[in-house]
Amino acid sequence: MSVYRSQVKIVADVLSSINDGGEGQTGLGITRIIQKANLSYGRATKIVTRLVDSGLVEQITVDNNQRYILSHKGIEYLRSHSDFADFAESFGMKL
Amino acid sequence: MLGSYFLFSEYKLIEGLLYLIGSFIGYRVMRISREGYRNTRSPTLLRLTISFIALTIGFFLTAFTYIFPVFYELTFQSDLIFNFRLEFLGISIALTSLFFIIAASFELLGYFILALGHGIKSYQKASAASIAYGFLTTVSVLSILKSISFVFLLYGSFETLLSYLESKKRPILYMFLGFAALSAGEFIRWLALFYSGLSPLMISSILVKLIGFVMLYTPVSTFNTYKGEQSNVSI
Repeated sequence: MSVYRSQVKIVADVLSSINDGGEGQTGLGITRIIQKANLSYGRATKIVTRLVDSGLVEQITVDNNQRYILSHKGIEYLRSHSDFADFAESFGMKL
Repeated sequence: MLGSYFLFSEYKLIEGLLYLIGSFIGYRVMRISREGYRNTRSPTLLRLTISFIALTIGFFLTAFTYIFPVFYELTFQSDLIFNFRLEFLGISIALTSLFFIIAASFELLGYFILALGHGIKSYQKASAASIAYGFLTTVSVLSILKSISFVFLLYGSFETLLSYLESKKRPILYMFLGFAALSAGEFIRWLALFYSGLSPLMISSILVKLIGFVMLYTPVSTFNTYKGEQSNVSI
């Protein structure tokens, strides 16, 4: 049986991809985010744009390429998500 | 006779205190879930919040309905104005029934949303005739609400058990044992209704429910609420 990811889980996956994959201050490009978070191009760009707008992800330009790094707010969100995922899991539920 | 009356009052007080503990645990879970929803906007945590708001209100009302009449009875124990007591007896019974029904409705709502969180896909409506029959007396309304609550509670505990078997994580086991003990306590309480006064079954029911509440609180107590409050991030 296939397990569907919730919107919250997808956002967390995108954030952790950026967090794990960003090499130093160079950040992660959209292609790597698509690969790591297992999303389509359209969906990934939509989510990343939303995350940039909400201040969880910062957009930087490196060698004329758009890269993404996690902001302080994004790191806090990711930590908070992990804590509450454990909490929900103790009820046998997933975020 | 008088001794058994006091014993029965004590039992009501103990059960009331037990539900007060339940409402405190429910409140704690509700606060953590609410903080979680504020931070992550997760629908799962929203469902947990609503579920535990309903359960907290339900438990608190049940506690109030058990404890308040005990104080009332003890206050008027040595009083000479019996007529006053008798006049208020009818109102007291009606109010107690009403409070129990409201409390059971909140509990039902709470357990339903909790079961919904585990993925109930369809909710089959009972036939209008069976509902009309059930609404004939206050006792039957209460029995219906408690029965449905029991089914949802049982469903929730089985789903939690399945989650534990998948992940083998200890907090989920505590949660399952908590829900299972609450279900068992409720079931024993039904059996105890066949006996009047303070029966061993009634005492067992209270003890099992107490164990259930302690088990439910164990994983919740390990969670640091303030961790969530500090990172007030939302998307």
